[in-house]
Amino acid sequence: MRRSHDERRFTTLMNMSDERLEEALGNLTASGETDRLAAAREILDVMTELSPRIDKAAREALARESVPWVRGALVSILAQGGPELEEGVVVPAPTWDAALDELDVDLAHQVLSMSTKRVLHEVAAVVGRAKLAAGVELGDAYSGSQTARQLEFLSEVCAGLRTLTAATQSPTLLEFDLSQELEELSRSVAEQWLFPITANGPTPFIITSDRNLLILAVSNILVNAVEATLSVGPAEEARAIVLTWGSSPGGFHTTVIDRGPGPPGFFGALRNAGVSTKEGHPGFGLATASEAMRSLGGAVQIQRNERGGATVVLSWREEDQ
Amino acid sequence: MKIDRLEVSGGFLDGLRLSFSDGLNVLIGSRGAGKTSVLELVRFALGVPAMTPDAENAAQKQARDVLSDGTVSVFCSIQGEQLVFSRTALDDAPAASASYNYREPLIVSQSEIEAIGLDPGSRREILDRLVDPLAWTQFDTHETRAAVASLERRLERLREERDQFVDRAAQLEGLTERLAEAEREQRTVAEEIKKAKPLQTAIAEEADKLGQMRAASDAYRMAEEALGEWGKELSKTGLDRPIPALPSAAVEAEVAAVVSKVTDHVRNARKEITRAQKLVAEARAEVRSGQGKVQKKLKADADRLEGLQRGAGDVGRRVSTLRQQLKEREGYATRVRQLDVEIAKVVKERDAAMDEAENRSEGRYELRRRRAVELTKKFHRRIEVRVDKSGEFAAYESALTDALQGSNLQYKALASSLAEKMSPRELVAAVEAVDPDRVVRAAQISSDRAVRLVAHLQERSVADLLLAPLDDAVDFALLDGQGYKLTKNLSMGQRCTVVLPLLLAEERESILLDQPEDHLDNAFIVQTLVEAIRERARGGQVIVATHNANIPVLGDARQVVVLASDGRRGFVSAAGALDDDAAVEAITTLMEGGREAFARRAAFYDAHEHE
Repeated sequence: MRRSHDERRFTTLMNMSDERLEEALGNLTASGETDRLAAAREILDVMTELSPRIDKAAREALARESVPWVRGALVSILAQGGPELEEGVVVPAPTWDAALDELDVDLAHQVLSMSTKRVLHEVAAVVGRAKLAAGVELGDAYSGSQTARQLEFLSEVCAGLRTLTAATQSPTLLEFDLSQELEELSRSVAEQWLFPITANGPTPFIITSDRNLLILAVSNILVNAVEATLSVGPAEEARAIVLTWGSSPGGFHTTVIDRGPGPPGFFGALRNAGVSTKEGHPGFGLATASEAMRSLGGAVQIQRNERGGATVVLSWREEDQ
Repeated sequence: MKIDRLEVSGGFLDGLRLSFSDGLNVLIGSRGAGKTSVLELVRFALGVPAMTPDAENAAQKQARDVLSDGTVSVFCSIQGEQLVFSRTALDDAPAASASYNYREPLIVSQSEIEAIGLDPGSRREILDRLVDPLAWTQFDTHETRAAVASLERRLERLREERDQFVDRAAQLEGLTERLAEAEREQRTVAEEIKKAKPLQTAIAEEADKLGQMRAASDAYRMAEEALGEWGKELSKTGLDRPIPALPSAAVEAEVAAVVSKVTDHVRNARKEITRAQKLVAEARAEVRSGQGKVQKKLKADADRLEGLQRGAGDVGRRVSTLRQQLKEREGYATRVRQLDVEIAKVVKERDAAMDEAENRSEGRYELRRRRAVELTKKFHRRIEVRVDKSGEFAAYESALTDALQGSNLQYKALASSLAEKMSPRELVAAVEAVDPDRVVRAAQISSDRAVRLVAHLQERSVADLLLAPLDDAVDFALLDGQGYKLTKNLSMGQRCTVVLPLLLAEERESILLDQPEDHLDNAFIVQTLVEAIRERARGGQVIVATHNANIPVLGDARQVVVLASDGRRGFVSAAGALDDDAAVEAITTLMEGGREAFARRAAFYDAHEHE
């Protein structure tokens, strides 16, 4: 069927807009500040909505940017996504609600744990068998194939689900030096990712809590922070991650401050397990940390940093001795 | 530069002779003993400026008050050479015994430590002191800014010239239409003149006829005159001429009959001439009457012909003038086009110069940023040094405020908002392109205001906006609990904990600090400040005035100077090594509150050690 003149014109205009948008997104990394400012203005002119792609590109640019007018233009782009994107706004992920009694939390954990185990039981074995069969059937062609990549992704999903299940276990309380554990954890993640991480807090810092759950939560947040920051630029001192800890009223906190792109516009989606802004990544990190902290009667809160990046605060109650 | 000795004659510290060693020198003493005065006199003698204007005023006043009518001398060594600086309270500047290139000591008063954190210029200066000056010079923007200023002046001249030509051309607006109209009129007149051929013939005929009539009229007039003359002559001829009596009656009768007859003839002749006269007069009157009519018609026809000919002349002259003006206007348009090309070329050159200035400021920013990253790492990220490229744009805002005066646009609020949202280059580009929409989108102001703003700025020089100095903004953030806090949100003590380590990071041979412990908790003094002082003292000289025992004791002071005062004069009551009896006694008494207080505190700590 022939398209009408208006339809063709509209399509042409859309294509032109797409081209302009592509060019402008590319220019966000230009070396000259005048070019970057023009690119940010162009995006704001052309965009019809804050798509995940624009959101990600603008947040990454904001994390790198230091010129006030370019920063302002990038913030204007992100403001199209709503008030959750404003810097300094704290968003719970998910909220630990004091009104929620223990039974409800336990019940929620039981349901999550049972359903996850059931899914794992059914799916993990199938994934394993599929990988074997594909290897045999495709032979040399398997390695590097789309099939291999998809099956690997499925394996990662199963691994993520297993970790998520671990995060819902009942806490086992022990007295330990949190500062020592976090310093070791930061060293280990820094070495594994070749990324600068500074652990900074009172030493020693003796608490009574579930060490494994805490480390599970913090390590997930830390790895998330490293991955996010690497999307902005190479691992260098200017982008070092800070891990700190201390006392809060009625409990304790551990905070991870990164220089990555910060929380995305469609932030609510992040709270759900299996959703990630990182392409080709199952994205169980935040959900696992949230579940682990919930098991400790705590919560995870996220806010956008003034200079880009996120501050993730894991807080939990002080256990009676 | 190292400070070897301080000598004061006159004033509160009259007679003071104080030597300083390498390493850590600590000045102790009760309040009012003159510790701060010693440091301020060193600063005064060397002419080392304070970091903020308020601190500078306070420092100068204190030094002059302490010195009164006396003189201060500071003996220094610079790369093995001795140098003496002297100054009286009346001197504007210190006098030096010789001229050397040297790096002056870092002298920081208590009020400066408190104020630096809140002063953007001082924060930047702290960082800049830590940046390699050689690397800094390669990014000097003076030359590029001068190039931009020169190109801007040229642009202004070109734009002015262009405006003049546009104005002149505008005055000749509608010229083509007017010329076409005039040419149409010219053709019409030419047509009418062509059509006026019979009129010319008629005029010629009428002129001939009028000539004939004039000749006839003249002939009649002459005849009339001749007849008149004759008539007059006849009238002179008497009719009753007496004849004498004749002897013959018959003859007499005969003669009488003849006389009577002659008399009749004369009488008739008179009548006939009168009749002839009348005939001639009537004929002449008839000719004259015809002559008037012909003359009137001839005049009307001649006037009409002359009108046509005059009209043709006028329209011809008009057409000629309009053609000249059209040529003139084409000349203006050509000049405007040439100027547009010239302006575009200069704008391009100016933008290239701006790009170069931007690159150089980017280079400076990069130097600062790298140093900031190093410092942040050095302080284990407890203190973060942040640099925002071109974040200090107060001069741009001020230039905008000036430029918007008289715009009826609530210029102060608008200038502030514009400076925050649009870079100088972006704003100038929008003004030069006459693009208020760009201002609407970037600054989020109404379309009407943007149009007025652009129109207003177009009438003014935008050079001041482009040339307003922009500098990087430097700020410090302290890791406090769950995140970083900027200096404006820090308590006085927290600000001091941020500023002091940064000041001590500077590698100077000599550093003088006045009571840095104020506002600080002992944990920070012991863990951070003392460590930093020890590190600095290891390779140079640190002179600290303090009330905190941790600084001399844990800082391994090389020399402790105890100052005292009798209320009228301050003096050195003891000076020596840390373990000299006098120093130990002064530290124990003045700083720890005496041995008993110290012993009771120690017992308290012992008793609660294992809790």
